[in-house]
Amino acid sequence: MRDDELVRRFLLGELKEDDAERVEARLLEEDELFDLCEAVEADLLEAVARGELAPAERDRVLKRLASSPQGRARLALARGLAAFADGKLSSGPLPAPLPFRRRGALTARPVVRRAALAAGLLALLAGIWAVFHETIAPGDGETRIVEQPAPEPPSHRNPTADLRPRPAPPVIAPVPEPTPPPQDQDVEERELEVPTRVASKPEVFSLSLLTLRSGGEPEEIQIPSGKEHIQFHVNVTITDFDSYDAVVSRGDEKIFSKSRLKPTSIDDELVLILDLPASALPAGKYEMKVYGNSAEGTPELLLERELEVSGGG
Amino acid sequence: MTREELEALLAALDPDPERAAEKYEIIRRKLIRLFEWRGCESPEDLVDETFDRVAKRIVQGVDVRSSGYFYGVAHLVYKESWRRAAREQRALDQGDWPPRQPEEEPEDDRRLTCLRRCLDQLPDHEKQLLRRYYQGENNIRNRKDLCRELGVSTINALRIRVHRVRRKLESCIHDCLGR
Repeated sequence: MRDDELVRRFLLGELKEDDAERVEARLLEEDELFDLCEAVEADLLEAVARGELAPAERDRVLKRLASSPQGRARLALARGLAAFADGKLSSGPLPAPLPFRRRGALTARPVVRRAALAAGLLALLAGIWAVFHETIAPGDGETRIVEQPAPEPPSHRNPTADLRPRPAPPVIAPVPEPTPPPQDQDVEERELEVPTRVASKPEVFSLSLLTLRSGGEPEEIQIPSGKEHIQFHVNVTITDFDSYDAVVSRGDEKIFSKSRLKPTSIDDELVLILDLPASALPAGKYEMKVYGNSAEGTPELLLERELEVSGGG
Repeated sequence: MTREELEALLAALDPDPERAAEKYEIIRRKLIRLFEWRGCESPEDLVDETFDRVAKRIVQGVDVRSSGYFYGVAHLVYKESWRRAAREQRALDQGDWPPRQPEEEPEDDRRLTCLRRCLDQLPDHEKQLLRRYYQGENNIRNRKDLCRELGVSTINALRIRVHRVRRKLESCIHDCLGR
């Protein structure tokens, strides 16, 4: 799909949630696509202003793009520009200038300039410090590095974008904290025994918390035969939770659950590692849920994903 | 956001303070639009909340190198606001509350006055570009002709060029309306 068509469908709310989230992430990353999206939005509003859209599409544009005060202002601008282009915007004498209240750019605000300067100086000092001092790893006892075998080339059995197998990286595993058992009983602790002596590298499948619901086809999990255990790496990105709970179930049966998980840093990404024996997931359909726990309130459902497991054995 | 958090946020965005401030503005603007496209009522508040949370995380030592982290936090903030709005709506539906007063908006006359004023401030070639782009009849053919005349390779490139002029116009109108 061409980018203009993609952003048009995004603006009209015609994309599936997964696809819309991917577009949003790209919009933040790609300036050109962002500009195109705003341009297509303006074209849609212009089409409404000129009465060029079918009623259903017109209603959708009005609802999605022109229901807020900002959206109505853009629609008014589209009408004004259409009138200007058609020579219908009269150009009589203008009244006295309205009092301008220019909202300064962030760079023009003194506090930000000072803060930015201070930040630059801090960065410079940190750089100098780093040159003259050897970095000492914090010995806080909260994490330990577990050596894993060297990565193997990525497997290409499962080409799905969100759930691609990848080689097992070195894992910085959280050391269990001496904390009392979780008070919340919604998520039952039921850990499965994972071989302590790793005979083979685990097959790794990656998921992202940015996807709330698949809303469509289940994600395919192909477990290579001979694999003793597998890992789900759930990319959390968001770390506004004290800990996370993960549950894998099949129908009403809870297959695996783990409470108070802490994210681990792998390749500059924060992931939750769910390690389970391959035998725990015979071929079939499963559901994975990940919850975020914070000090206040009930656990928040962050991920709900249907998995279709095949292979293994 | 505290001063320390703001400094940490800017330093994480770019070691050069000027560039950091520019990046801050760009991310801010984009997030506001993303929240708007999601139909959020107070996009600027949600962006402030997003920046607050990211800044706190940076101070705590989280390494934020890509805009993906901002998006992740923004997405979470969005979900929370959506749930909050749904709860509020349920409460409103249950109670005999007076209808919410719509925000006061400037009248069309003021908008048109500002539009005229701002169009007058544009250089001639930009005004001409807008006029040609928005001409009503044979819209598509006009735009293709315009692409050829300007040596612009695609309609999308033309759209973006027009959009940048329009954005200038929007900013001018915003100021003119005294917001």
